[in-house]
Order: sequence, then structure tokens, then C-alpha cells
Amino acid sequence: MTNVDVEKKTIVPVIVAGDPSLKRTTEQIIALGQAGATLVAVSVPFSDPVGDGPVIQAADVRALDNGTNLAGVFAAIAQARAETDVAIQLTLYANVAYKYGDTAFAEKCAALGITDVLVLDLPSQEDDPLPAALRAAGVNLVAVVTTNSLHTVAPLVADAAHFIFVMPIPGSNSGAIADQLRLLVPEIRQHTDLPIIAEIGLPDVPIPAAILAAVDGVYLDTVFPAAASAGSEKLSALFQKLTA
Amino acid sequence: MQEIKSDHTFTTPGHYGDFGGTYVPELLYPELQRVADAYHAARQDPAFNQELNDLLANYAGRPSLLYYAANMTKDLGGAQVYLKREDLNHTGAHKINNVLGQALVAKRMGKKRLIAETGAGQHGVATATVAALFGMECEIFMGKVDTERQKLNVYRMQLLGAKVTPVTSGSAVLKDAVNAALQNWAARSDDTFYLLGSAVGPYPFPEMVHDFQSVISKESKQQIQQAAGRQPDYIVACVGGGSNAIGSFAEYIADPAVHLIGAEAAGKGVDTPENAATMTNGSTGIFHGMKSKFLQNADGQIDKVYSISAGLDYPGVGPEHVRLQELGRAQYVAITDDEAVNAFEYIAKEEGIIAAIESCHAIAEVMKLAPTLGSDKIIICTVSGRGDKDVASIAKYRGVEIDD
Repeated sequence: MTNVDVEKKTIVPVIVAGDPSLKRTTEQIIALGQAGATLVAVSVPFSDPVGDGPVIQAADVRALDNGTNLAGVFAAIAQARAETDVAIQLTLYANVAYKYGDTAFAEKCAALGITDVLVLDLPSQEDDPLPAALRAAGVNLVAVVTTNSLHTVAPLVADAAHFIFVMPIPGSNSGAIADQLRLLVPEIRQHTDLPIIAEIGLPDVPIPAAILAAVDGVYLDTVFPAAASAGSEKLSALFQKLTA
Repeated sequence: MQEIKSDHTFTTPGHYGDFGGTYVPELLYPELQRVADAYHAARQDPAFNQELNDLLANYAGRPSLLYYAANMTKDLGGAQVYLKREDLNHTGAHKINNVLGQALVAKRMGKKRLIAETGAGQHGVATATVAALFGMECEIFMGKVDTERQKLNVYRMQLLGAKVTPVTSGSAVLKDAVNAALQNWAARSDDTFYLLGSAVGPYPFPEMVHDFQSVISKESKQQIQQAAGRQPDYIVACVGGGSNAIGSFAEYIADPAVHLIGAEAAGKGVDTPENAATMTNGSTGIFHGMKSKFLQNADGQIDKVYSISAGLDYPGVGPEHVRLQELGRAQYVAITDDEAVNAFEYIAKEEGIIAAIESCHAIAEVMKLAPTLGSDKIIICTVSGRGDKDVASIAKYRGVEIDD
């Protein structure tokens, strides 16, 4: 268990756009790309982030106080594209994309090289027009499997591409997350060979080996937002430390 | 008013035209499906309906009265005004109708624990009441700011055996309490039922709340037939999330001769930033599990809203109301704080009824509407709750100091 080869795992850093500023968001994307990230997740701030923990909630408040909106986030990503071609995931709530317009949103994502979109409050079972718009634009809508999906994983991963995003029960400690992954991952593996990336909302650094051992990668949505105000050099150092 | 029309035809349940749906984190979806299945099975089960009817009659005190407001009718000098007295229910509001129903569904599902969010504390108290009755564990999530503003209701819930958890995240108000309750439910859905108090949220909640609250109009339909020998011309009810209004409208929706009017909170005025008039000022969006109308900015960030009434102080509204408005089947009007407070004082003096400030938004609309109609017309107005809880804040609004 302690012999996990971190270098073979995908570490997905999450940053909250506009925290502390959109200019810094551009710098952070570039820095993380240079530090070797294969995918950078940019979380779009929302007034009521029901699906997020306290760290992202606080970052969202700061970002919105700075006047951050989706058009600004797209502009910040466009700026970063001048210097990096790192794959970018956009993580957001359905209303933000809806207000932008499903088709316009999907086409803008495609134009900016946003490869993946995770909509936190759009379950795959809901019949909404956004998934078709993303598909038409060639952008992947991230397939989500959670601990509560146990025994019903098959339909959730049937149309998945790029990777499977696994969400443990919020508030779980690292031991509980590892236990949940041990139950869930074998069922996912029965239905797909795509890499499994688990959301880890823990401040634990280094990432607990029992978690890393169970999956192909982790999506760290606490570690990086908590360090965002320290500057992009600090974020890339943190990323390198995590992957060393 | 910005409207986004779609030509998408929804194939999943819980849609009212373009509105409704199940917009929740994947974590919650399986449990919502179980709740929907359990609810539909329950409604088919005579034993469930018998138990619910028994509780409504012998615990909640139904049927509630349909009272002919002779003084108001005479004073307003127009239509005949009848009041549907939900304020006379046990716990003093219509909330108990839905809480009893959902708690029975929870019991059927084998849940041992009820959770709910509350703003001012009314829904929390109703949930704690039924948890006490059923011997279930109960935890109420309440923004820390609200727990300080509503200490009496916090104590009431504790008296009823509930644990009240102050929520400190975000701005520590109702929406943060919703977040905390949802996260708790996601973590403990094996033994826990989330009891939602209004006609909002993801499917199947708007449908359940519609059904459990429709007892209001089932009764009023019969009562008015008996009292006046015919059906009413207008139904008036206040709308926050819209639970008492949907219950008051339900049995009349299919009869286009009956006008349906919802009265929402204009706060300091629909043209000021301080209002909660979602139907008047809102636009379509996706939030709190549903596609509906919300007060929000152009970027889709949800607005902070204001009303003197804590029960109407919500940035959204139930999806079925938005559909009724879109179809022109129901009209929604906005009533200011001032108008509602005047109505509060008016109905107290005219009829000897201290009605909830929420309900007084509907009364205020009746005060405008009745004089414009002939004496052959009949209005039924739902008094959704009693106003004892509001006396102190009305006094404050009027600048009267009360020494308690």
C-alpha cells in the first residue's frame, strides 16, 4: 500500500477562477501546465455552491466579490491559451451555463480547448439540453459516479469518455474515502477501462497512499484553492511536491 | 423580464412544461428516485391514505374552517370574501399537511431520522413536531444568523426534541442551511429523510407538496358548495415557494371559470433592489434542484432577496407556479411590506384574526380586488398561518416599543 508510484497517478489541480483575480487565474493555469499537470480544473464561482465544501465556498465568495463571471473566466482561459495547451476542465453549476446559453457555452468551450465540463448539479439521468449541445461541439461532459451509485454504475459510465469522475460522500475522512473506493472501483472496472479520477476534498498532503492505490488519479478541490492567494509559483511548487 | 424558450420536450418525470426536473448532484439522485418510488407506492396503498387522513383529522384538526368574512365583505363593498383558515391547524399553519404526509413516506421507507432546513423556524418547528409524534430523530439545519434572530423558535424545536445545528458557512442564512442539509442527506441517506417544506426543489418534492397540500382545495370546494351553493370565482393565496398556494389552487386548476391569484412579496417595492418578487422580476434558471424562475443577475448568480415576511423571503418559486403563469392559468401580483402590514392590522380589527404576515400578502390583494367586483362574486382567500409570531416585528415596523 505504501509503494504507490505517485508519478503514475494523475493529479488534477482545481483552481477557483477569479480567486484572487482573473489575471492570477491565467497565471495559475500556465504555471500548473508548466509544472506538468495533464489536466487543470477551473471551477467557475457560483453564489450558492451546494455541491462544494467550505474551502471552495469561501473562494467563490471572494471571486464573486471581485466581479468574476463566466465571460471573464473564458477571457482568462483565452489569455492562458497563448502560452499553454494544457487540457482544461471547467467545473460549474448548471445555471451558469444555462444563462450563457447551452449552445453558445458549448461552442465557446470547444473554441478555447476546454476538453471536459463537469456540471455539479446535472445528474446524467436528467433530460436536459446541455449534454447534446456539448456533444455537438465535441466537448466531453464528465461522467460522475458516486458512492451512492453502488450497484447502479453501468448506465452512468455507458457514454463516458476521457475518464470517470468518482465522488465520495462529502465529509468523509481519508480512511472512509479509501473504503468507499475499494467498494466502488471494482464495479466501475466491470464496465469501463477509462481512468478513474476521484474527487478528494481533504487538505491532506501528501495524498493518503490508500486512496492513491485505489484509483488512477485524484481531483484535489481543497489543496489548491486554499493556497491560491500565495501566488502561482507556490501552486506549481505544491503540484511538483505532490507528484514527486 | 428575460425568458429563454426551449423547444426541448422532456422525457423524464417531474417537468411542468419547461420547468421542474431533478437538478441535483449525482450523489443525491439515487435517493430521490427511491423517495419518488416510495411516494407513488404509498399513494396507491389504502392503509397509507387512511393513516394520513386519520392524522389530518385527529392530530392536525382538519378540516380547517371556511369562514365567511362578513365584516370584510361589508367593509370592502364588493365580492363576498371567504377565508380558508389554515391558521387554525395544529402548529398554526398549512405546513403540517405536508410534513405529516412526507414523514409517513419516510416511515414507510424505514427511515429513522428526519432532517430539514429552516429560515425563520416555521418549517423546522413543524418537522420537529411530527418527528416527536412519530418518535423519530430530528436534526434541523439553520443559518447561524437565523438562530440568533429566532431564538424562540430554536428553543421550540429543542423542546420538541430536535437537534438544531447552526450553519456557519457562506453568509450563514437559509440557503447555507439548505446546502448543509443537502450535504448531510447525501452522507446519510441510508437512515435519513430530507423533509422539504415548500413546493420547490427537485422531483418528486414539488409533486409531493402539491398532493399533500391539495387537501386545502379539496375541502374548500365542498365547503363553498355547502355555504354558497356554488363554486368560487377567485382563489387568492400568498406565494413564497408556493406550497399553500398550490394546495389552494390544485382542485380548481381544471376549471377555467375560477381565477387563481398568487400574491408574492414586493418587499420595499418591485422597482427597488429589496424585494422577493420572483414571478414579477425573476427569470428562468436552474437552482435548488429545479428549473424554475429565480431572482438572479445576468450571469446566473442568485440574488439576495428581501421581504418583511421570512416565509416569502426566497429567491425562487415552485416550478408548477411558473408553468401556471406561463399558460396564463394563474396570475401573480406583488404586494409590498407596507400593504401587507396594513392588511395585518385590517384583518385583526375587522375580523378578530391575527394572520401571519405571509398570509397578509394575500389579504392585501383581496382588499384591492374585492371592491372591483360585484356582490355576486365569491373570493376564497387562504389564511396560511397565524400571526402570533409576527406581532413583535409588526410593532417594530410601526415604531412601537414592546418591553418583554
